[in-house]
Amino acid sequence: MGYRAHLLIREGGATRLHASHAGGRCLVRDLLHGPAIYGAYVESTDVVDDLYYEDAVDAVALVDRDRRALVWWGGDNLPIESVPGLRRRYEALLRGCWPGWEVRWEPGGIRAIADALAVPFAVDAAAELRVRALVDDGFARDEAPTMSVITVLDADGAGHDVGSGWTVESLLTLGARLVDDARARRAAPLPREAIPDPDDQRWADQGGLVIDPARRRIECWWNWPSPRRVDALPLLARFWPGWTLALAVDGAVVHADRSGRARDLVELPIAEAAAALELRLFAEHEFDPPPEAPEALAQRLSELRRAPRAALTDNGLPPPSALQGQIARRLGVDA
Amino acid sequence: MARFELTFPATITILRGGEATPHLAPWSGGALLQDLLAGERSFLAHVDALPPAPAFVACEARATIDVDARRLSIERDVGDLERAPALRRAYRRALCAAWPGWEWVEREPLRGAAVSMSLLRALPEGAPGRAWITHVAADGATRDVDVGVDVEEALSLGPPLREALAGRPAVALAREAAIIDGLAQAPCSSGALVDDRRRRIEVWWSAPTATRRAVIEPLARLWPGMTVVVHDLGLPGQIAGSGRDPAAVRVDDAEAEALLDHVLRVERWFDPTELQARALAALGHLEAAGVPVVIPAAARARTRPSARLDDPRAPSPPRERPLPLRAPELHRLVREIHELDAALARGQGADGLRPSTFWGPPAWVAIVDHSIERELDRPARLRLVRWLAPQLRLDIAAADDDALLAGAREALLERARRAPPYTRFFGWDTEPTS
Repeated sequence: MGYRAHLLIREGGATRLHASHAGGRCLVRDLLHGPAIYGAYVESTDVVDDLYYEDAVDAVALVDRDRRALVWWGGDNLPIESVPGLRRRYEALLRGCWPGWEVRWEPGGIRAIADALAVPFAVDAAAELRVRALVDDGFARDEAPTMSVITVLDADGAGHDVGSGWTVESLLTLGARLVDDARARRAAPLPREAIPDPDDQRWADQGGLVIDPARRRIECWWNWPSPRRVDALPLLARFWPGWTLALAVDGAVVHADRSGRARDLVELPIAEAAAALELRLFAEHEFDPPPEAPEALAQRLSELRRAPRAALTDNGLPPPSALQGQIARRLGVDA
Repeated sequence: MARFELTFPATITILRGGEATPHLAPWSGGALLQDLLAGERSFLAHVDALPPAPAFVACEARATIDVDARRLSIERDVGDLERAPALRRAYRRALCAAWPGWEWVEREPLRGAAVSMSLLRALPEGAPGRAWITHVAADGATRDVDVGVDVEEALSLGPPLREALAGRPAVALAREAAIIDGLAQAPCSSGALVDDRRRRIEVWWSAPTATRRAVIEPLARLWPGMTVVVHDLGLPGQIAGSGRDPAAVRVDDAEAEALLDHVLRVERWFDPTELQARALAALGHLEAAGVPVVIPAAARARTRPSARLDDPRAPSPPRERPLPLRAPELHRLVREIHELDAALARGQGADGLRPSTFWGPPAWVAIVDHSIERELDRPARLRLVRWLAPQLRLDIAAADDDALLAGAREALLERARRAPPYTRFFGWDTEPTS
């Protein structure tokens, strides 16, 4: 049991690998403490030699002090990363907490970070992807409720939007014939981003494709682009020889961005996003301690500053209480 | 506590006058293919005398006989014809002769719009015999390679498969099917010709299911510029397609009939009475251990076509019996025990064998125990038990060989006593008694 995290610090050209058995639980909240406190927290966790959690890791973060860059993946343990409209706003909030730093979400999780660090990682070369592949007329026989939205760009950049009951993975197995199949379907309005119903089992798998035939380029997204999905992209790209297949991490707004339409068309309203972030970061998690008094937080931070390797328990950071109730303002909702 | 219902059932549905009537043949699961060869008159008379099938039965074999349309289909069997396309062709000829004017609906098309497929990242080591792929390069150089995975999985690599094949050793061609160690076997169960000269890929399976045939469409998208087609000519078709003489691998019609005869009359022959007696003897161990054994009344029914031995077209009784136990699974189990013992006697490890067989439900445990006692001499029993004890995690503190044998036996029976009820496993029905 646990929320296993690998946390890395790069400094002076060297990379130090840390592991925390519980530090993955609230990584997205802990990061909001900013580079000084979060860096000190990482240093208080165990140093390890290998990526011993490997595929079982629940969250990862790389604090690159040389390049002033933060790369993170929180495993959606606080359900923010699986809601693209929330994750984008969260990242804007995070950038405000890490001023002067490049902040980047890495949906590939541990593998992508291991690659970036050249840390040995046992990849099962024989691992296969099971996919529901469409037969030739599979798209035409599509009658299920919408799972994916497809935008096919025409020569002048305008988009033809259609819905499909198939997942992005299945649609990609059609290869280039999907272009004509989608063009032949009656246009449908782009769906707006939303906060999912907690019982919606289909949410994580919903996504979309933006197909640019002129540039032979496809961008795909899922509400939850899990590391497994990121890992599968090269396999799905086999169905599109001569095309480039890329992940659109920002989700549904890519349909508006690429077709020259305003994001307002699909984007989750900022006030709604701020309220949901407030709830998910501070209120919804039964394992969180209650918001601590400012005195207690100050004392903890003082301890951290005096002794960065002090023996903290895993996930020993209190919530960044100073942010509670402030997210809407920080995101500029009032402005 | 569990009780065991001993059957190996088939269900046969008769469509007549617009009504469907399912019948249960409690012991015909392994014999449906040969029973059908009794012909229209005998088989229908036999089925009409069978008891009705319950609403749900987990059967080993299933067929539908549409009397109105004179069409029959075998929806499920124990896989005998899936060993080689030559067997299926021979069976088709035999069935057409036994049911003149009838249509055998062999392959239902896939009704769904999607098919599940695997995309491999690389060619794994795999297990030999699943697929041979012949690659004919643009310069005509030809190699046959055992890819270790099913052919559709190998083809999912797309064009990089060529490079993967080049890194594997070539195989020596073998006949498409032959009797080896008393069983009809094929060197591979699927294959493909990747012909770069003709820009063509020809695929076959010995079990060309609807799913497999449907997967050709997405597979073709992974091979741009190549035409991907399916055929049912098996390994000889693959070799001929590469421009070589297939005579060395082809099984002709007469040989195929002999193979079919062996499969249906020798390998698959079992006498339900004998099976029942032997299985009861095995399960007697369970009864001794306090586990009741129940033979359902329906299983006592006469379950084979009465005319089949009198019909000149019907197969004759078995001429030889390669192993003493008849039921397919008992047959396989005992064969594996002997293989295991032979490996241990040679001082080899048992890595290549399948210990999973020994992990079955209590009935299996009892049969393992029974087979160890009946089929093996004392030195062989000891070898097997020494290997089996850690496999089954039998905690035996044995002072000597006798204690080891007794301890293993008691541990097996204790496992049977403690086992939870099972619903279905390899033809053995079990259900809780309370």
